Amino acid sequence: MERRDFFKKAIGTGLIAGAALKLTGYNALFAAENTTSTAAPGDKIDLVAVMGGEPDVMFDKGIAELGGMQAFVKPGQTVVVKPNIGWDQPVEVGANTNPVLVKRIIQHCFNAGAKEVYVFDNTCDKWMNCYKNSGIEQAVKDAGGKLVPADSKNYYREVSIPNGVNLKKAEVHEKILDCDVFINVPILKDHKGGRISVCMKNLMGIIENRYWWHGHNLHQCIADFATYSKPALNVVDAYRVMLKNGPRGISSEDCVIKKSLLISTDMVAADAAAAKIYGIEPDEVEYIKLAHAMKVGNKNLTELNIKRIKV
Amino acid sequence: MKILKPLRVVVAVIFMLFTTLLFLHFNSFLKIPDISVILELQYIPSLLKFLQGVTWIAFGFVVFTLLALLFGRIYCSFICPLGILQDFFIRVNRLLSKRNKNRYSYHQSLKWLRHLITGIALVSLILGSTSLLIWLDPYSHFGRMATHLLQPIYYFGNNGLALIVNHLGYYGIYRIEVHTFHWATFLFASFILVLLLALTRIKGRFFCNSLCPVGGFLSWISKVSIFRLAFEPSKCISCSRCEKACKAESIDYKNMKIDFDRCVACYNCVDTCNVNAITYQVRFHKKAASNSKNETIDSGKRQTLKSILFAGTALSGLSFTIDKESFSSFVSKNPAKSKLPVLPPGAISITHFKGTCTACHLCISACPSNVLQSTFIEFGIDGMFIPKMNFDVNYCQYECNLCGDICPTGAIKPLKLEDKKITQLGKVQFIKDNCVVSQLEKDCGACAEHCPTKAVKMVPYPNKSGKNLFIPEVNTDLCIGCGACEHPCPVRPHKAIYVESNPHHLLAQKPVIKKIETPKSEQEEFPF
Repeated sequence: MERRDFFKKAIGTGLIAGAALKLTGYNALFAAENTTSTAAPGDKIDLVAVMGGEPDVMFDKGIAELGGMQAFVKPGQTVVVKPNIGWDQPVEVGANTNPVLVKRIIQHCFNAGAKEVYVFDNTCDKWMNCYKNSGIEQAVKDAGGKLVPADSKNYYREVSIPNGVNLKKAEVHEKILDCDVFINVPILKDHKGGRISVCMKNLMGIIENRYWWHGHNLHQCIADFATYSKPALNVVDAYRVMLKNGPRGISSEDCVIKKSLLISTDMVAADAAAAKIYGIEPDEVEYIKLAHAMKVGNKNLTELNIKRIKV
Repeated sequence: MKILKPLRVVVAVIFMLFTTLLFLHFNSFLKIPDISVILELQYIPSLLKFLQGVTWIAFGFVVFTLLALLFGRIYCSFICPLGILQDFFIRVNRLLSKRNKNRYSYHQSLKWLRHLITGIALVSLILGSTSLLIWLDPYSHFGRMATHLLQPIYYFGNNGLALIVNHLGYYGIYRIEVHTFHWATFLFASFILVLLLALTRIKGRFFCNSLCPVGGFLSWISKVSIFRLAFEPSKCISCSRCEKACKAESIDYKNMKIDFDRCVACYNCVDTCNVNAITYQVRFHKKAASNSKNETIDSGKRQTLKSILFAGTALSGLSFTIDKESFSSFVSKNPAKSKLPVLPPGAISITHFKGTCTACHLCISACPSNVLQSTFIEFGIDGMFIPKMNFDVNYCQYECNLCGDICPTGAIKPLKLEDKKITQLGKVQFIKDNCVVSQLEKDCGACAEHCPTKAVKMVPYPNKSGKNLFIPEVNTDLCIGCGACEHPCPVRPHKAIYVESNPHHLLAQKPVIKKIETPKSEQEEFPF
């Protein structure tokens, strides 16, 4: 009865939700404008690191340092927000991006004038269960975005990766290929295959056959793909960090509350900083080293202009 | 009396609709409470449940046996989905035919075949095997047609619609891929469909009176029904309308005779009669003819049936071919495949499963991840088409116990989610010499990543190149055999990790939950 329900509610609640969203959205925008004044004008910030608040509050503070969402999303543009929704797990387990953060990012996009905000992930567990039980389905609905499926080959188109060493082509989700702005919203977590899962690893959720990567030098494939797909913005959810049994997790006991958030246009920088939050050196993660060498970004945190904010 | 036919049509349409919906897209209908309870009325499934000593009343077969004793074969036209399907074909046929007339005439059906099949079905039930019911049960025939013929058509239509509405920016309707195709089952279901289309066209409900064991058994009972349809000779004007309308070809208007044991209780005769000459009448006299002679099994016939089955086996092939596309940059050499098929959680053991499953494929049509797939002869010649867990297609979802909840025969017992999560379908086996990590000295970890219990975990792997690598290590005590490791393993043609089936399900240990030892959970400073 999902569909019928949808039809019934789409018109009624859609209008109300939309109106409510507009109100909260504008408030958030004001808050953002208030904090931008703290940043020194003219300095190019490579990475914003926020700590100590709730995910949505940290994002408000952090994005303001980069000139607000309007620096990335222009009126009338189509946006894809790509969280990690890989597993049929509740928020406490920390296997999926925090829905509070996802919701806030979508609101910022609409406030900046986005025409449409799409959200999806090529999940590991059954997609419908992942979308629903992660809390992201509700978050997207509340924010007025559109959650789209990614479980069929039909949604993907082949692209070539000219700078790839191992990976010469990949099938990428059509929403990524067709959108104006791609915002990558991974959660930082344990991952024995890749060591940690952050920005570049999260891109495995926009391609069709990720198992091929596992069989052909995973790290090289991750780095190869990063040369092709560079999100306009990366927001790392490190509020609840899974330190073991990743990336699926068994229970909330696998996590530590770190209340952190990273924002950067540079995936390599964000992954390097995330590695430090996780508790390892960036050089222990091979794909970070490879991507740095392939000039995807800069892993040397000391060379970066990092804006640190405590909430 | 005239109300009987409209009543039958209404009940039949409702049952057919709900049964079909159950098979088409089970997940979305789960939100309606207890819709699958309608399957409790199905004759063979409820009988199988009853034979397993289920404590609550398996009421379907009791109800319809008693009803048969009173009024005849109500099941055949009111509830049986295959019977209703045939009525549907007959109606369509009549609408399409030029003369738009009923044209049946009184014929004896293949009496010996009906008794033989009913006898065989009974004996096989007593022997605790469903091997023949798989081939005979009308509900299961319908189930396979719905799953393997109708569901793909429905998905095709859905996907067409999804294409349009997604293009318009609405995503409430989404693509659903057909993952259930299985050539042998498809051919078998198609064959039965074509057979029914042909039979209904020339001989009406011939199937129900010659090939169906439920029809056969109920015909024995309705021989002694208390109330039965019969002529009132004083009213009859010998117009022949009733005989022409009788889909069971059981009315002989000239002799004002109705073979009530073959009557499928459709009440078309009652409806068509202008003078109300056919009515239910109490029957006290006349002893029922003994069928004992026909009950004995003709071993020659059985042998023939067996040899037909064996001929089928000769045509066997792979049920679901593993994706041949090379996923890994090397070719694995060591075979990695379970010797026995892996059973769904709740199926208890191969013996229990084979003794109770009639391969109606409701679980296959409903399984959200499509890990449940049809088989051909993996369960042996006496268990064809029984579902198994096929990890080439997908893996069993940790948070799902749907198949046990919906199985109408009790072949897959309902399990509480917490019990399902420790039911061990099989044990994980790791073949190091097939693994990406040992062969390429590169990271992978796809298996451990998916494992919900961490029966597969990654441990440091010392290697020649001195790299910091991790390799899978398995703990079969924690393994539940869900196939989450086997499915994503990228190595071909043989995977590096697989589930070896437990012929009898066991209990796994609960996953170890251990708190992370950190002095304080919140950091105060940025680590960079």
